[in-house]
Formats: sequence, C-alpha cells, structure tokens
Amino acid sequence: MAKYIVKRIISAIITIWFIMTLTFILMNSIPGDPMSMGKALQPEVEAAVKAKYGLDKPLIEQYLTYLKNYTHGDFGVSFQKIGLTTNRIIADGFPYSLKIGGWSSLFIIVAGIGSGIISALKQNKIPDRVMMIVSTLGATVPSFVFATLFLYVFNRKLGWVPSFGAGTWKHYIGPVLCIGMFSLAYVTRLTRTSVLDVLQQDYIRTARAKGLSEGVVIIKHALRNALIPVVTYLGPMIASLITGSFVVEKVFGIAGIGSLFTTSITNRDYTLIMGITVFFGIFIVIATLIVDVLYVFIDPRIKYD
Amino acid sequence: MENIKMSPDMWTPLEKHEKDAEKVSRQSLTFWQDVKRRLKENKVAMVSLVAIVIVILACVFVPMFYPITFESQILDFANIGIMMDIYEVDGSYFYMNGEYYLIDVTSDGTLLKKHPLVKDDTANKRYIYDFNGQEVIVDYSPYFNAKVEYMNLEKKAKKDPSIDLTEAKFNLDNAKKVEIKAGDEILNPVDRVHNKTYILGTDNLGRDMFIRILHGGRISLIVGFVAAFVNLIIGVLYGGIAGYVGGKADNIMMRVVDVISAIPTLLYVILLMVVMGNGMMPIIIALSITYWLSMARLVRGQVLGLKEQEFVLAAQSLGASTKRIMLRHLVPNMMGPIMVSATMQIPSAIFTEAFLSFVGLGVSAPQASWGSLCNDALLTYMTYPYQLFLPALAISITILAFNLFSDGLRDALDPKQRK
Repeated sequence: MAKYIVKRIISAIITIWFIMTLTFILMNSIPGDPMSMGKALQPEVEAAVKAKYGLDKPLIEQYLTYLKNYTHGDFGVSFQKIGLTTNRIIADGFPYSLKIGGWSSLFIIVAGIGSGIISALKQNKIPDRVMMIVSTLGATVPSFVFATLFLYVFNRKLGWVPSFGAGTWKHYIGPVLCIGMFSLAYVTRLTRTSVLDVLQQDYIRTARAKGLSEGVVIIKHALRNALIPVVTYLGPMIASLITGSFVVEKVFGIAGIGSLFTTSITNRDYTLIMGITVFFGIFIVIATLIVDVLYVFIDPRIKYD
Repeated sequence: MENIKMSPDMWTPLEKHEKDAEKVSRQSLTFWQDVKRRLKENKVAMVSLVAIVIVILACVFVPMFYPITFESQILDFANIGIMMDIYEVDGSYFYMNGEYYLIDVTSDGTLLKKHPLVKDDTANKRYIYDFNGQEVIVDYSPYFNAKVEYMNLEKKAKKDPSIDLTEAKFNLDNAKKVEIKAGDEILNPVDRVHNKTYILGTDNLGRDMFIRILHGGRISLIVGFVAAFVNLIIGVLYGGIAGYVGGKADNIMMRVVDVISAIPTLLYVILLMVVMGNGMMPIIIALSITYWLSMARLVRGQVLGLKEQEFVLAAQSLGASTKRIMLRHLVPNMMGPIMVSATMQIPSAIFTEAFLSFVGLGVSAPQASWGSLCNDALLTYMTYPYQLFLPALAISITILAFNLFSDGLRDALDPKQRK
C-alpha cells in the first residue's frame, strides 16, 4: 500500500511538472510578447523592462527561472497592472472561492447522497421520478442559466436575496446552490445506482434474515458500501466546482479567484492567466491525489500494486 | 429410448397446412434492425430525436428564407420585448421601451418608427413628445428621486453595516418607473399585444432575437457536431492502434493518455483559446485536441476484446492488411459503444462552447452562438430578461434532447445494461 501511495505521489509530481511545462510552451507560442501589447515603449525602457523580467534571456533559461520561481511559490507578476502579482490575486480571491466551494461541497454531499438514497429506496415511485427529473435538469441547464434565473426570481421578483457582492450570508445562498447544481445531479445519480446495486447483494439479505430493522440494514450495511464509489467522484467534483466558479462568481459579482481569472482572460493579461492556470492545475492534481490516497483506506477490497 | 412405443400413426404424412407449423414466420432481424425497433419503442428517445431534428432543420433552413438577417440592426428599435404595452393618443398608438423612447405602432403590434423627441427636459426629469398637436410627457422624476434616496441609503450602509439594502433595492427595482401624461391626464396602457415585427423581440442593438438565436444555434450545433466527429476520428485511430498493436506501443500510448487526462481539461481549452484567439475554428480545435481521451480509452478496450476473436484470425490468414482489419472488421463491430459515446460528446461540446462564450472566449460579434448571446444579455437581464433566457432555453432544450436520446440509444444497443 505504501508503495502505491509513493507511486501515486510521484505521478502527481510528474503531472504538475507537465502542466507547468505545457502552460509555458502554450503561453510562449502566442505571437508577440507582453511589451507589444500596450503603448510603444522607448527602446531603452523596453530593454530595461525586459532585463528586469528576464525576457532578454534565451527561452530555455526563461523556462528554468520560471520553474524555479513557481516551485518557490512565486506565480509571477501582471504585465498590465503595475505591482499586481498572481500571489496577490490568489490571496485576495481564494478565501471567497474557498468559502463558496466548501459550502457547496457540503451541500452537494449532503443533498446529493440524501436524495440519491431516497430515490433508490423509493425506486420508480413518485419521489424517485421527481428526483430523476430534477437531476436530469441539473445536468442539462448550464450554471450561468441557473445563476441568472436564481437572481431574477429571488432578487428581482421576490427580493429575498441581494444581487451583488459578498457581504452577508445571504449573498452566499445563490453561488453555493448554483455552483453545485451539476455535481449535485451527478452525485444523486451515482448514489442511487450504487445503493440499488448494493441492495441486491447477498449480505443485505443475510442482514434482513437476521431480523435487523430496515433502518439498521440500510445505514450500517448498505450505505457503508454504497458510498464508496461516491468518494471517487470527489476529485472531479472539485475540478467542476472550480470551473463553475468562473461563471457563477461573474454573475453574482463576487471577487473570488474565478472571476479574477475571467477578468484576466478578458484583459488578455497573459502572465496572470498563466499563473492562475498553473495554480488551479496544482490544486486539482493535489485534490485528486488526496482522494486517491483516501480511497486506499476506505476500500480495502482493492489491491494496489 | 428402448421404451418408446412406435405406433403406426407416427408415420403418417403431415397435411400440407401442418407443415409450416414450426416455421419462423417473422422475418429475422439483424442486430441493427433490432436496435432500431427497441429505439422506436422508447418514447422519450423518439420525442428527443424529433426535437433534435426540428432544432437542426430550423437552424439550417429558417435563416435562408427569413427576411431579416442576423446582423442587420435598427438602433431605433433596440430592446423591444415580445409583449408590448401600448398606449393610445387620439387614435394613434405608441409603445414605450425601457429607455423611455416612444415608438409608433399599429394597434395590432407592428412597429412603425421611433417617435421624434421634442424636448429633453433634464431639469424636470421628463421627456416631451408631440403627438399630432397633443403634448405627451414621459415623467421619470418619481423614480429618479427614489433612486437618489436609495443611493443615500447605500452611502449610509457603507458606514453602518447593520442597514440591510436588499429590501430597499427590491422596492426600487419594482417601483413604477415613469408616468406618461397627455396634457394633465395620466395615460394607462390600452392593450397588451404581440410584437408583430420581431416575434422574439430585439437585442440592445436592435437586432432580431429570433434569427440571432437560430443563427447562434447553427454555430453551436456546428461546434458540437464537428468536435464530436473529430474526437471520434482521433479516438478511434489512437485507441484502435494502441489496442491492436499492443505491447510496448500500447503501454506508451496509454501512459500518454493517462498523463493528459490528469490535466484539468477545461483549463487547457481556455488556455488554447487564449493562444489561438476568438472564433469558431479555435473552439473546435481546442475541443478536438482535448476531448478525445475517453473515446480512445473506450476503443482500445473494445479492440483488446475483439482482436482475440476468430473472425480477426480468419481475416489475418486471408492476408488482409492491418488497415483493412481495423476499418472493415473491427470498427463495424464496435460501432454501438462508439456511437453512444459520440452522441454524448455532442451536448458536452455544446455545453463547453456555451461556457467559453460566456466567459468571453467565444465567437466574436456580429457572429453569435447561444453562449455569446447569453453573455451579451448578461448586463441588462434584470431589465430585459428575454434576451438572456431565450438563448438559454435553446441551449437547455437541445442539450436535454441530446442527453435523453443518447440514453435511449445506449439502452437500445445494450438492453442488459439497463438499470
């Protein structure tokens, strides 16, 4: 098992390196350089700026500096706003995004597993039908539609929630719900299928034959096994929450890292785009790694070698 | 066996009509005929298929014959909704849009022209129009005052966080915006009519929403179909070669797939779009080079199973080339799972395209896709909700139809898998 974990960590490191290299290659293949974007600079000034950021060096040397800086936690500076660094953006925006992401993970897990179980237990009855329709819609309607519809109904028509910013807890209701819609639908379906599978196993019949109450059978015997596949989805869920944050933070006007990323895309601020992409990439790889390692402890049936 | 008594009547010849008793009267069905039959029985899948066909036909053909093109704009008719409240003055009718412009209309809702403004009376917060000698005043001072009040409250709230602005904002949003007076008499809408000139209203530049949604549908559908098709080609070739050749080549090729799939795909689609610039081709390319992984995995798995079977050995011993075995023998046998996977990729490509356009990486104006139409409408959707929700509805219906159809197709191809 230790061998598997070490192997998994090494492959995560390779993936992160690959992400960094790919990002570097892509961003360097854009025609022109950061200097050619704005006003024309005087040659001396341009040379000085290039020297400061090491842009006059050969590409391979730039690449090595880039790797060194990033591994030391320095994700670069903006070429458009003086003094703005990627680290600053991450420090400013990430707390908001983390708060939204954390609450919506909780919401997805509790609501998704809950409704999945209910719909499995009431298979093909009305609650099941309703939940399947809702989860189909959740996977069909893009998150920006959910977000705008939510604001239109609950802000414009009913006036229950504020529309913009991130002050009170009321500001967070919309983002948390909308960002989680897609994953919620997925978790509901996954839980339903998995519970239905488990309920047909022999050990469930044994448990029932022993005379255990239905509640004990479901909670102690069925769920513990049924929820194992749901854990594997946690990695992709984090990735989907991050991409969801691009859109939802934009609609709700929250200055989280997602909306700062979309702003830097609109401004074509290449160094910021590069820094935030790598940051997201590392975040997702590490999250997936943690889920994979946890899985070893959760599901001892699987042999890893 | 010895105990069986042979009676003579067992040997009497059959009557002619009895001869066909054991004959299989129903025509035997091939696998695909069977799939078709099962698909036809699935009502949800058939309704979805009809919806898809209608959407495709509408997007392809209607713009060819429609009198208005997607890029023609009449700024005077900007932001006009689907339903119009019309007012009457001396037998002629007008409609007021969200920016307090008066537009002459007929009583059944055909737009005529923008009514010329006589005086913009900023001091008293009102516009003055002249209707056949009758003075019509659009008075927006009550709303203006309410807004000033709200902004004062907002200033206070900055110092004192205990003030909740939600209710005040709500009251402001739902306050009556203007009073329209003819002389001293307050005018009320006489009728609510359909917009006859633009059936789904216009956008903020006075372009017809209906034709823009259909045109946007063309772009979105092209992206969906082409991306899915390119993924299919790359995935089948890559996975087919890896699975068929096997050994070291397979090992290396699959490691490459593993590494690429560990990368969060959407981030790379975004990065590729940033590199290549906006437009339809960059979206298709970006989607094509990132989304083929699952198809490659699926095809490799299928090929690994199929290549051990006798018909491949037979083809090999007949001297068929690898290319021929792959394309004529292996691919037709795994068409089912490939088709299901491909139909599932169409909606996911449309979804991603909408997402990219919404983030600002989509097609550039005056072109439109469903995502970019939503993005264009985002700033004003509280005032003109139809501009955002109509294209959003188009996206949702199309994706839903594709999803339900591919579910049905999967069930039809593999009834055992059904849960």
